[in-house]
This record gives sequence, C-alpha cells and structure tokens, in this order.
Amino acid sequence: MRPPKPGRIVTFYSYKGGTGRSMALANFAWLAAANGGRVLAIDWDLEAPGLHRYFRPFLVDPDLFETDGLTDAFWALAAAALASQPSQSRFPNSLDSELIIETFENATRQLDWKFATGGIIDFIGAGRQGQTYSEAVNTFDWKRFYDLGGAAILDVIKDDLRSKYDWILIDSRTGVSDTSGICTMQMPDIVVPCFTLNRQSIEGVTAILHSIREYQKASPAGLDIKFFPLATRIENAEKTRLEMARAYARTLLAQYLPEEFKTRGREYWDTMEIAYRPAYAFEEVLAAFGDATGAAGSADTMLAQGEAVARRITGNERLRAPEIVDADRAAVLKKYALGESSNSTTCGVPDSQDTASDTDFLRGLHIKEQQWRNSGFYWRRLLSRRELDLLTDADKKAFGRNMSYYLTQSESLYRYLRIVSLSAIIIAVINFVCSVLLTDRTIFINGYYDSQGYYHSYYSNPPIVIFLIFFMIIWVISSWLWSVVISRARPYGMSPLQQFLLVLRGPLRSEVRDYLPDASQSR
Amino acid sequence: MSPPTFFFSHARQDREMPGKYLTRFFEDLEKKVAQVSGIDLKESTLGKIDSRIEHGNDWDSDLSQGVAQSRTFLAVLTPLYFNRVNCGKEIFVFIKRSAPLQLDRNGALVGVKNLLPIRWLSWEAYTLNTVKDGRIPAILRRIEDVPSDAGGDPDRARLIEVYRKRGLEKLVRSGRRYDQLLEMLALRIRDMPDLQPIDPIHFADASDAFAVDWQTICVPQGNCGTTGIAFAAAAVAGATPRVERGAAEVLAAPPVPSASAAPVVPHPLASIVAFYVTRRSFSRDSVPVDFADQLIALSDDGTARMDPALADLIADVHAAGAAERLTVFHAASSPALPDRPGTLINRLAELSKIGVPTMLIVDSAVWSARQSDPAVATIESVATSSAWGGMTLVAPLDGRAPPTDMPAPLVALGARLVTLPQESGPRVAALRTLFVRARGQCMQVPVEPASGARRVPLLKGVAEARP
Repeated sequence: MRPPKPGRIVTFYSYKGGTGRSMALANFAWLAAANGGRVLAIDWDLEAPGLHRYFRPFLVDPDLFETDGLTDAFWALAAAALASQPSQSRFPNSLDSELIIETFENATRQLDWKFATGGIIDFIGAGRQGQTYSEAVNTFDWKRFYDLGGAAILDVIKDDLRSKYDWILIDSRTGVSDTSGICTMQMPDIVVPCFTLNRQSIEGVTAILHSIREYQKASPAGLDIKFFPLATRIENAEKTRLEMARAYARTLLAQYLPEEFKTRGREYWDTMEIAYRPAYAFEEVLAAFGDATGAAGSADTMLAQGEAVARRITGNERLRAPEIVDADRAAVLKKYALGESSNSTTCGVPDSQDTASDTDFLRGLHIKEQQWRNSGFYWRRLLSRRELDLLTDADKKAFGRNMSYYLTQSESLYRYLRIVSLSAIIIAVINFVCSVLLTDRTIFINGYYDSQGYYHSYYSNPPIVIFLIFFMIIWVISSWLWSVVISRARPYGMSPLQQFLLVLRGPLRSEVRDYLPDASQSR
Repeated sequence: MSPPTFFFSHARQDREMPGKYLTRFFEDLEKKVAQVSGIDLKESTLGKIDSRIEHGNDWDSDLSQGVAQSRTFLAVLTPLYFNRVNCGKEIFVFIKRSAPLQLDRNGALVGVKNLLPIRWLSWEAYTLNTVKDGRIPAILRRIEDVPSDAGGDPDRARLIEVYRKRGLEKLVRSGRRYDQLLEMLALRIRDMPDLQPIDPIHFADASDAFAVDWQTICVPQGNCGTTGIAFAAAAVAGATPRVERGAAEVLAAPPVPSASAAPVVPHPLASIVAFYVTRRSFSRDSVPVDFADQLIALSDDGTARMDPALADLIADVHAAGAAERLTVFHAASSPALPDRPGTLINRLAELSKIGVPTMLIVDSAVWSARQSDPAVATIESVATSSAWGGMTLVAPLDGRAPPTDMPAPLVALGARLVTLPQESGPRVAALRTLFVRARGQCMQVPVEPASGARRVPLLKGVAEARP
C-alpha cells in the first residue's frame, strides 16, 4: 500500500528545551494518522529521549528497555560503513541500500491503535534504554560518520522513508549540536521551530532559521526547506508583556513564514499558537485523549489548537480529530496513568479476555448514545430492557454526564412503557364497560321489547358491530387523554403524537429488542 | 481432531529484560490460531505458557499436563534457553512422545514430531566463535527452524530470510511482516498432525534434554540425508571431516561447519575479540582462524575440560557482549601465556586497524609468580604497547584479591588498565561499559574520507549571528 505522493519529512525543533516540541509532534502525528496518513515518528533527541512517553499505551515496551532504536541503528550503519571502506578487503559491498533500509526497519515498531481511516503510526525510539545507553550515545562520532559516507547513507534513508510514509516526523535535539544540524538541514522538507514568547527563545530561533537559510543557499542541490514557526506555552497573563513579545516574534520571523503567508501574517499566527495548559505540562498525554472531542467549549482545547496547527502544516483544511468513544478514551487514559502497556491487538482493551465482551458491550452503548444525540434524540435509539438489565451499578457509576443522561432517558422510557402496559388493561376494561353501556343505550333507542319480552332491533346490524365501533372511538379518545395525563413520564425526544401512538398500541408492542442498533428504524 | 493446542516453552529472561515482546507474541499467536481454527477463546484456551514458575521446583501439574498433551511444542530459542533445566525437561518430555527416535552421526535427533522452534534473537546471538548456529545444541539441529517453506512465493521467501536473520523479537508489532509471520505460524500449528498424548510426568522424574546422554535412549542411525531447511551448523552427512576419536566419542563430537556455512568473522564496530592470558586449562577450538593463534573451544565438549572459574569469566564476557549486540570471539595466543610479545601485539594491532574492538583479559593469578616468569614481562609489554592502544582487563578469579602491587608501567596506563569485579553481576555491567567504550574508540580509527563525503551540517546560534 504505497502512497501516491512522496512523503514529507518534518522536523520539530526548538532552541531551548521545554517548549512542548515533543508534544506538538506527537499530537500532529496522531491527527495526521487519524485522517488517513501513514506516519513515522522518530525520536532524534538522543541525549534526552522523551517522545516515547506520549505513545506509552500503544507500545509493547513503553520504557524501551527491550527495543532497539536510532542509536543502535546508527551504530550498525557505522559498522557497515567502516567495513565497506576501500582499505577493508574482507567485507566488500557490505553497505548496500538494502542493508541500510533493513537496519532502519529493525528499529521501527508500529503503534497499537486502529484508526478507522486506515492510517498508521510507526515509531523509532532513541535507542535501547539501559546502563550503557548514555555511553553509546556519547561515543558516537557524527563527524566521523559523515567521513565514512554518512551523508549518502542518510540520503538513501530519506528516499526510502519518503516512499513508505506520507509524513516522517523528527523530534530534533535542542540547541546547536551536530544532530540538531542534521535534523534541521540534512533531513527535512519542513522545519517547525517551536519557541516560547521570551527574548532568548525568539532570538535563538531566528538565528537558527537564518542559519538554515544560509545553508540552503550554499548547498548545490537546491534544497527547499519550508518553515512553520510555532509559538507555544502561551499564558494569558501579563497582557502587555505578552503583546510585546508576540509583536517582537512576529517581526523577527516575518521573513521566514511560508511564501503564501508573507503578507498574511496575522492569519498565519492566529492558528499557529499553542496555549499553556497545566494539565498537559505535568503529564505526557496525547491531546486526542486528554480532551474530549465534541465536548462543550471544545474550540478552546489543546486538541482544537493541535487541529489548527495540523491543518496549517499539512495544508488539508478538512483535517479533523476523530471522535473517540468514551470507553476507549477512559481505557487509554487509565493506561497513561498506570504506565501500563498495550497487551492486546484491539484498541482500548486493558484486561484479559473475560472482559473483552463486556468492553465490546460498553462500546456498543456509547455508539448508541452518540447516535441518539446525532439523530435528534429519537426515542427508538434508547436502550432496550435487556441492555439496561446487563448494566452493573459499577458501570453506571463510571459513566460520564452524557452517558448518565442517556441512561436516565432509557430508564424513563421503560417506566413509561410499563405505565402504558398496565394502564392498557385498565383502559380496556373501562372501554369495554362504557361500550357495553353505550351500545345498550343505543339498543334502548334503536329497538323494542315485544309483549313476550324479546328484544327486536330496528337495525339489521347486530349490536356487536355497534359495540366495536363504540369501543374503538372510546379507545382512541381515552388513549389520547391518558397520553396527555402521563406525558410527564415520557423520555426526552418523544413527541406527543408518538406518545399517543404508543398508548394506542398498548399491549400489542413487542418487548424484547436486541441491543445492537436497530438499523431498520431510520428517521 | 483435537483442538490445536500448543505448549509455549521459553526461558524466563533476567530482570533487565522482562520479556514484554514474548508475552505479546504469545497472546497474538493464540488469538491468531483461534481465528484460523474457528475456535472461541472464551470457551477454551489453546496455548500454555509458563509465566509463573521461578525455578521449576513446583512444576505445575497444569504445565506438565500441557507438555504431555498439547499437540504442538513451541520452543522459543535463546542462548539462555539451552542452559535452563526447566526448558530441558519440557523438551525432553515432549520429544519422548515422538518415540521411537534415532540419533544421527552428528548427534542430531531424527524423527522428532510437532516441535516448532522459534528464532527469537538475531542470527549473531546463536553463533559460537566462528560457527553460525553453533549454540544450538546438537540434538535440535535436524529440526526445521522456519514456520513453513516458501512454496515458491518470493515474498514469503524474503520474509523467511528476514525472520532467520533478524529473529522474531524485532518483528513483533512491526507491521505487515509480523502479521504475515503470525499467520504462517498459526496455520502451521493448526495443521500439525495429531500426536499421541502421554500421562503427565512429574518434574523430578523428567531428565534434562540438554544434559542427558541420548545415545542410551536412541538407536544410532547410519547415513541419513538432511531433511528440509534446518540449522546452519548441521553438517551434511558424509561430507563432514571429523576428528578421529574413540567410537563412543564419535557421536558426541561437535559438528564441524560444512563447506556451505561460511565462518563468522570479526566485523568492525560490531564484534569484540577478547584475548585471554591465563594459566588455567581450556581446550582449543577445532576451527583455525587467521586473526588469532587459537580460539577457545566453547562447545559442550570443550567446556567440560575448561577450568570452572575461567568458564564463568568467559560466560560473563559473552553475556556482556550479547547484551550490547556484539559478536564475541574468545581467543588466546599459542601458548596461552605468550613468551614473546611480538605476535600477540601484531594480532591486536591488525584487528584494531580494521576497527574491531579488542581487549586483553589477564587472569590475575598470573601475577603470583611475577619475579621469575618471563611471560609476565611479555604481558606488560603488550599492555603498554602503543601499536595497539586498547584496554587491558585484570580479572581476579577464584576469590583471590586483585593484585595490589602492579608494576609501574602498568599503573601508568591509567584508564587503559581496568580491574574487573569478582561477582558475576557487577562484572557483566563493567564489561558492558568497557565494550561500548572500546567500540567508541574504534570509531576513531583513521580513515580516508570517502569520495564525495560531505561535512556534518552545523547550525549557527545566536552567538554567531553577531558581527
């Protein structure tokens, strides 16, 4: 399944640490994959690896103790490069494209989450964490690697990755190290420099962008690197200072904006800002799970801002965060909190197989709740008797507000139906009596008793027909009256006409329904 | 037909590697087998895994029943696996179900049914000095090590090649390849022929398959051709040169690599060659090499004649190298305590020149007879040689205290001379750091920049922006 367009390599960079660069990358990766993209996320911040923490619930080995990563891959590549030197006679041709590509594949793992659109996220960690990780990172000489032909190796890798993925995201080291140079100049098509609104950060980023531009001009290959500066950790306090800092940043960075925005700076900056949110500062959680999609006030969440940033960088105006069912969201948040890893192939199933069916059931309920809301609260979307019985008290307690409301409406539906069933009997009895009486009255008017006491009717129709006619009329009238009387008990979303029809049907209503959404009941 | 149950036999890893990929592989495999067989896992389980037993003393009746009655035996092979008594017993009981068995000339079992070995680690982990797959015990050499044959499909053949080279651990949850491999394995497990179950055998009554003398259990067989793809070191019958020994020893002789299995050689930056200087006994590996006078024999037969303290040291060195994913070669000069430094220095310098990290590991007992022994002076000149530049490690063995009065030139080496700890755990840790350091030094080997090699792009920060 190859993407038709070559992928683009995006490096997220920041001059100083703590700007939320890794978080921006992780959220971008998620949104791109959720909208159908094949994404590869690479943690190139070897000295302080942290990208893997955002993906903990989706990695088999969340602490990377057993997983090879970039450091290991580059040591293997250096070994192959050294072996293929002309001075080495023993290993001719040991460095070919296949080996390079395979070495990189060795370090790649796929995240354990099924996107409905078919997108995937592959991940390359910084390296196997352990007692010798630091030594391995610090003894790797990048200059020597380049002497051995490292640049050509990286070109091979770039071409291969571009053919396999739509988005290749690199989390770069901060500052001016050799790896940060490689990440911002050798590798990318797009650089997203993240900065906070203080002088040091802004000036640092400007200098770096200038440096990249110089490199671009000097390189023979006609490099075209686009910049998408991103302002992060913005706090809405100290308004005047904030405005000054914003203005300063916008002035300095104006010349580095993408071509189409050079004259539309305001439009650019309106969507390329990420606010400081304490909840996200303390814990590494993906915004897609930290924030609820479609929740009230959702325009002002990390997720919404992440969406805006992703739209800007990908150029896809239709990019949206997918709606995640509450059960899945809760399960993943639990995994973040407990530091557990995913141990199942289906998304969001934390426990053993015994509860797999329970979780399927709960997911089904959440889907129904969403359908109920989206269909304008059509009462047939409420839960069936059986589903309500299957829910435990613990489940009910664990539900959020929307789901609890949905439950109370489902329960009120059954209360309503119970009233209707009971009252149907009473109404029937009363109707019967009334009809008899009325028919009788008409008998008095419509016939006579002869001298022997036999009754003779003026009409040829037997009285039973009259009785039935009266019965029907009284039934309809009493149903309507009764539906008005019990209208308070009806669940939300039921119109008076539907109420009336229900009461009318009375005991002819079927009781049992399957808990899968009733596809035939369309609105 | 009974449900396709399988017994998942593996060696519990040490603390640093809790085996998350292993557990995950087991779960995925069980689900896949259930899927292809149409079995609901909520009603019955298919796989049996030992996730509880510490040392085999309470070999659960559940497990022993599993071995005795499961249809397939999945052995997750790692170097640790062959040393575990647990695993040996599990394999023994299962292999007995395939009776009658035969033993071929090279000590490999013929006629073992329903055993599916899994290559968990990459091929380097299974090499023994220069022999590829040398660590795989002789008895298993005839068993097919691939999930199934390619059947002419180039995609499949490629997958099998990747699997044999990289090992399954690297493929778990890596995408399409993993799914394909799982399917192949699941189908193989599903299609395994029925095997006669036996009564469960208690742990104490089972023997260790890797330690027992199979000659007494099996009938030795004459010429038998190789069947299918099996481990690389299985010698082709009839084409194997063997060291002529007594008849009883013939069957136990370790197989010499056949012409088709190319010897493993030290690779720059990816191997470690450790030269041991010691008076203790060891036997020489039968394969001659060009980078050292001799290699220390590590096969079962060889270690039987090795000094136990030396064997422990070598095991630690190998474990440290394996943990860093380096292939380790255990070499010595001939004689082990060299009388002239020249040859040894040349060997070390040659290897360093091509970028292979080397170490000199000296048994501290060598210094007990310092005054009279010329060999000691040789060691000193090797260690201080500038032609070589690598590290010398002093290993106190047998509970001896490390030597306190080292001669001045050695002390002047500073960081180039390291004394190893006595205990195995700290020793492995120290060795790991030293190996990585040595590898880093080797990267500094002078090279001519490749034609068209570019320079590392360097960012210019704020400081450089000022005029």
